[in-house]
Amino acid sequence: MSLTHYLVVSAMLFAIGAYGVLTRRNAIAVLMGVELMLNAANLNFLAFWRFLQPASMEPQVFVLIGLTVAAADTAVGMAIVLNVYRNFGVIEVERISTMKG
Amino acid sequence: MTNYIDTYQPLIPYMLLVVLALTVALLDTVPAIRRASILGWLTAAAALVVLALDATAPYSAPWQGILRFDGYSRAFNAVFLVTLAVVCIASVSEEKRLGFCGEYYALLCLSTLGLMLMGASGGLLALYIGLELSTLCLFALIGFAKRERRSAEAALKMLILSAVTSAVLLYGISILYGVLGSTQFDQMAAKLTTISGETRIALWLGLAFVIGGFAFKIAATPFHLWAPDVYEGAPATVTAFLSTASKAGGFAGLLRFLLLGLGGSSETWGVLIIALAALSMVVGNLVALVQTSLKRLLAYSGIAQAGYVLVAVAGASGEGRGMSVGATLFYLFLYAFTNVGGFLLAQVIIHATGSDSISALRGLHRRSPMLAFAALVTLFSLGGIPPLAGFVGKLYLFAAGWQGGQQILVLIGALTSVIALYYYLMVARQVYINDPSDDRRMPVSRPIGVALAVCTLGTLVIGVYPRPWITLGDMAAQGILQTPASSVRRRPDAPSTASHAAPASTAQPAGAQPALPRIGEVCGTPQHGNAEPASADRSLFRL
Repeated sequence: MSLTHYLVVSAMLFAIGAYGVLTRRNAIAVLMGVELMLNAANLNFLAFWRFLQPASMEPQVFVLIGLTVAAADTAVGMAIVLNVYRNFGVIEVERISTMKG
Repeated sequence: MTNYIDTYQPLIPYMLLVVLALTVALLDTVPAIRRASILGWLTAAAALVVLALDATAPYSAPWQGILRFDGYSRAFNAVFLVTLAVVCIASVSEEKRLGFCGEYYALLCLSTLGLMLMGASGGLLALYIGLELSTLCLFALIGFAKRERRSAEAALKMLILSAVTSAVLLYGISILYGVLGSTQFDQMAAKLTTISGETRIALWLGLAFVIGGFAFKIAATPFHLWAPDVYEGAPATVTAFLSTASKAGGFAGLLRFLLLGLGGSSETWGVLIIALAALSMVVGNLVALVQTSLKRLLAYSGIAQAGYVLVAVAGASGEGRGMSVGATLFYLFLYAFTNVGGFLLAQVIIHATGSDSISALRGLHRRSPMLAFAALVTLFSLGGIPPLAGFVGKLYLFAAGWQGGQQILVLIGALTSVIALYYYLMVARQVYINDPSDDRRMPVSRPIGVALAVCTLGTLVIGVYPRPWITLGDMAAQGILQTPASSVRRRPDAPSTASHAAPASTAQPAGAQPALPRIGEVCGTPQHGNAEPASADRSLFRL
């Protein structure tokens, strides 16, 4: 297993996440795609740490922060999705459109 | 021991903001305080106290330079905290309608804290945390009108687009870490010169991702798509904060990243910023022409204004860095007053007429002359008409861009500014020339009246007497041009009278050498009147 393997997996994870974000209609599924993209970045950090700079602490801190941000994002996100459901009765992204643009 | 205190003393204003947020949320549970609706005023006053504390703290770079407290962070903090204060005052009259109180102000404070961290970041770590903190709080604020469908929709749009951008940004940061071996700005810049061959491609990829993340925050084309809908759906006071302070935070982080992290040479990032600037100016101004809603008009005008600021950012390489930073800060400062005023006006109109269409402004000067005057000042300042603040600011931006070798961008800026004048003047025509359909005065609650007066006065004063505010910009420039402060630098003078609320005048260290182009000498005298920016700045770079 070399650095390249990890980077390819991470790039695939990122691409799958992005594909999910672009094609899913359900707001929660979109957020799941975002989660995959965030984890791709975390995998990148850890791979660089392991293969390039095993003495450095920075990547680990970044991964912890990244996980925290993802959790906070989801928490606030779920509250917003719930509120949207109360107002619109659906959480399909393209049906929630009263404003143009 | 004194060294230790000096290193961590600049953190006090930041911590105080957290304490303020918690206190406000706690005080909200006391029924008497809630009824009296004084929390907004309290938060505003506390924000000014935080500002005063920040202006008197020493410079330092704690924790191996993860954070950097210097003139740059201090000058940007002035922008954020003044905006926070004005928005808090304006929000007081919204409390009853939206049914909020403490938590709203708490979220505003925490969002401001995130922006301040972005301005004070010494590496991508603090920058990312600050960005996320401010954005997460803004989601909740945008969706604050829980029973309004448009507010919920705006929050969802902001959530999805912002979460995606955040993921892209983090991925970009991870690539940059792999290429440059660090996320601290000074170490990144040191490693940058050794990059060659195939790694350059990875570098550019990471760079594009990170700059894309910032472009989203400042709403620059093609990352602007969220802005009109979110601005329209969010409560107007939140929009006012989002379109000024949040945008300023994006620029604060962007300039830190570009000038410190990438070593002040625009070779790697110049093309991206130039493209963003040109697209934002053209798209923002052209789409604004066909808008019928005041909030959407201001949203597209805000996109164009981000483009103008990016002209100066694009010119920020080599010797012209100082002037670009100064111009950016000065413009964001005046833009805070002008644009908050604009959105508060929209709020008043929505309250009075139930719609925010531009035709609702018909004959405003017969109905409420003071409101009409505020509208005129705001619109003319956004359009860049002398002697208002927007004119001086735009002149400074374009001069900085020109000096940085971005003549074509400045030309695009000047041309699109002329287009922009058309739609600003169309609104002004509704206000002053068309006859009203309704003669009643527009009701203005006292808090919004006070906030509007502050914004209008600010726009007027900065326009007529720009010198102290340009000094604020110079302070920011010096902060970023000086080499990283690994040790504490004490301010040479510590004036004991420096605790009054005016942000700029107290803040300049006396020993600092203003080695920067002093545009103040030219702009301080507005008699060269309606000279077009592109030709007027010929006289500037001889200074």
